[in-house]
Parts: sequence; structure tokens; C-alpha cells
Amino acid sequence: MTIAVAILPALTVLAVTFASAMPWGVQLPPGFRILLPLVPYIFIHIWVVNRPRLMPEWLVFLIGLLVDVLSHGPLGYWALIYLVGFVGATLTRDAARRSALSAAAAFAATLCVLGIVQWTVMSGYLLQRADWRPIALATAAAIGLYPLVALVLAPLLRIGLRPENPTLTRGG
Amino acid sequence: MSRLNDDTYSCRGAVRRAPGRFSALLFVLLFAAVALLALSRLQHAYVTDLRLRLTEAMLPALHAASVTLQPFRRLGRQATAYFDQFAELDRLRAENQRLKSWEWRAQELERRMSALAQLARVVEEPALHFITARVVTDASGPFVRSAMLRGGRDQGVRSGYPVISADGLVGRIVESGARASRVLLFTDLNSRIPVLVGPAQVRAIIVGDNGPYPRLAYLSPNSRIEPGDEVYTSGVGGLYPRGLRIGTAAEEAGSYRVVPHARLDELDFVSVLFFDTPTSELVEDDRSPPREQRGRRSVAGRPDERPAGQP
Repeated sequence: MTIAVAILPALTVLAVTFASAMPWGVQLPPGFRILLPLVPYIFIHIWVVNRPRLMPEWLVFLIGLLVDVLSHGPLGYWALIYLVGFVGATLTRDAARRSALSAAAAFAATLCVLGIVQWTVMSGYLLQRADWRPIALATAAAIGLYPLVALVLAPLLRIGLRPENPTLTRGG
Repeated sequence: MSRLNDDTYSCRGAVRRAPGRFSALLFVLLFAAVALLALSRLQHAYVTDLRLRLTEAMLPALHAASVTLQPFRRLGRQATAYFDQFAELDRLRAENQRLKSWEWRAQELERRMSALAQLARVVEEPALHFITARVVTDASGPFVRSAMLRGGRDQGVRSGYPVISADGLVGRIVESGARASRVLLFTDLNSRIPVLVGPAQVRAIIVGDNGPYPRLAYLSPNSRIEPGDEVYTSGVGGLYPRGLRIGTAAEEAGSYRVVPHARLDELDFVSVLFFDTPTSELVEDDRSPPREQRGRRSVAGRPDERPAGQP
């Protein structure tokens, strides 16, 4: 495995993290700004499911901290959310690898749990019941965005993979 | 013939994680995240300082990225303008007609105002100095609505200074490092601004709720507000100078909200007004330079001009 392949997941997630923090000058629909920190998570989820060795927990934690700094939120919030997402992605990995549909379903399930965790942590932090609607909207939007990201990442996921168990078939 | 298998890396012996079995490092990191969150909640000085240091360390990269994005930003605006141009043209024509009649009226009012000020011997408001700085990041989390500016204490920016764009009020500085500072947008959950609404000058407070349209609170029961009335800072409390444009009032299910003039999602350059709370001069410490020493500067190298949101 080359270094380029090893750092590819980190590079893609970092690029998306920085891109989501930049002022793009685009008027987003109300409530959609909360979606932006979830975009790096979609990438993290896909990498954790498909290449867990290249997306270890410490890297997920550091990316979460970076999002905290860039989003000016409390330090540790997105680190915690991403780590919970990491646990969810690891637990649903076997199911997610059966087919594209099951991968999307596993992602949706993880994100729903993540939405509840987000709301709970946010309410605990603010010491008041947080508004659940933006979180639900962002969760739904991220679930909708997942197939597109999966499609974009599909070629990158194949980079560096070595053929396993080569078999010779007669007349093949 | 070979078969590609995604498990090539993930299934090698001990590396593969069986569901339910996680490394000790994960629990350490989860604990660290919760601890950081708790320290952030307590607004521990170490965490605040750490954040500022991290942001300042990333500032050159963020600035370079934001400059690189400039053509994309322009492209986005042009695309939006292209689709809206016919409606925009009609709107501008109508606005131009309205403004022509207002121009004459404003000149007349200005003349009368200056005559009255002379008669009453009104104390002149000091001119506001300002700097113009580029927005390098937009906050997009569930907690805050803020933006990071490339300009900090070295340029004279201090916590509490109001920030405006060409269209109107943006917010105020809440953290200032040596070369970067953070603006809390007035739509943020923690933002409260005393304002005046409409020609009747109805007093109210703009309360941010992290949504795009903050609400108008603490209105008196008999207050008369019409949708479309101008909302501007009242100057009460001394955090903001009087008369900074904020937006227009809009009615929503019996309550009122404010539609901001400033496009808070499209901030590019903003001006920081060197406006000290009048009472702060009574307890002014030695850290800040005297007001007369702070000249007009432009961090982003823009020509120095009067900020548009200033009255």
C-alpha cells in the first residue's frame, strides 16, 4: 500500500471539511446550514465501512475537532458526534457491505441515531430543549445526499485494492 | 481472472473489528470529546485560547482557500443574477422611482436638520473609524451563527465592536485574536439587540434563534408595526451606535420577525466599526490604543470608504 493510498481518505475528508466551511456566497435555503458539518461525516462513514484501516478512530476525532474549530462551535461537539457515527458505521458494516441498497439503509439508520444523539448533546449543552427540526432536516438532506457521495467516492474506494484469491477458470 | 474484494485491507486477522468490540483508544477519545465539550460549556480560558490559536494557525490556509474560491463565488452570484435579472430589473426600476422622490425629501430634511441642530447646539456624534476585512470562514454548526474575519487586535479590532456589510448590520465581534476575530451574527441564539422599528420608532429587542429571520420581542401591546417597516439599532445599552440598518419587519402568525438586509450567507468583505461602548471609556484600560491613534485602515487592501451600513 502506497502512502498516497493510505492518506487518500484523510485527504478527501479534509478537503470536504474545508470546503464546507468556506464562504461560497451561495444563499442556502433556511435551515440547510446545519447540514454542512454532516457532509464530512458522509465521507467518513463511507470510508469506515469500506476501508476501516484507513479511517481510524483518532483520525475521525481529529476531523471532528477541525470541524469544531471551523464551525466556531463548542470544542468536542463534532468530535463526539463523529465518534458516535464511527461506532454506528462499524456496527452496521457487515450489513452495509451486502448491496448498495443495504449500505444506504445502514447509513440512514446510523444517521437517525446520530440525529437523536445530536439533539440530546445539544440540549444538554444549551441546558434547554433544542429545536429538533433543523437536525431532522439536516439528517434527511444528508440521507438524500448519500447516494451522490457514494457514487463520487466509488472510484476512489477501488484505488490501491489488490486482487484477492486469484482463480483460474477454464476457458475464461 | 481475478476478483476485487474490498475486504483486502479490512479483513486481515486482528485488524477486522467484530461488531461490539472496539479499541480502548475509542473510549479514551470519546471521553476526551465529552471533557472538551464540558470545558467549552464552562467557557474555560484554556479552551477559548486553544480555539483562537488553532484558528490563527489555520488562517493563512483559510485565507488562501477563500481567495481561491473568489471566482466560484462570483460565478455563483452571476448565475443567480442571470436567472433573476428580469425580476431584478423591474424591482430596480420601481426602487429607482421611489428613491428619486426620497432624494429630494432627504435633501430638504437634511437642511432642516442642520438648521435645528445649530439652533439647539447639539453635541456632534464622533466620526466612526473602521477597517474592512475579508470573511475567511462561515460557521455552519447547530450552535452558533458566526464568521471568522482576517483582522484582529493587531489591526485594532476588539471584542464588542459592531460589524456591518454594505447592506446592513452583520453582528459584533465576540473574540479577537492577534490576526483574526470572530463575529457573532445577529441571527445567533445568543444575540440580543435593542432596536427601533418603523417611522413610529417602536422600541423592541431583536432576539436571534439561529434561524434566518430573528424575532422582534418585548414589543409594547399597543405598538404599531407595519410589515416592511425599517428596523435599525436604537443605541440603547451602548453596544451599537444608533441608526445602523438591520432589516425590515415581517409579520408571522401574530408575531414579528426581521428580514435582514445583509446577506449573511454571502458575506465576503465586512467593516468593523471602532465603536466603544460610551460607558467603557469610564473604565478604559491601558491595553487599547487611544481613539485618535486609530486611523482608517483597510486590512483587505480595499480603498478606504465610508461603510455603507453606517448612517
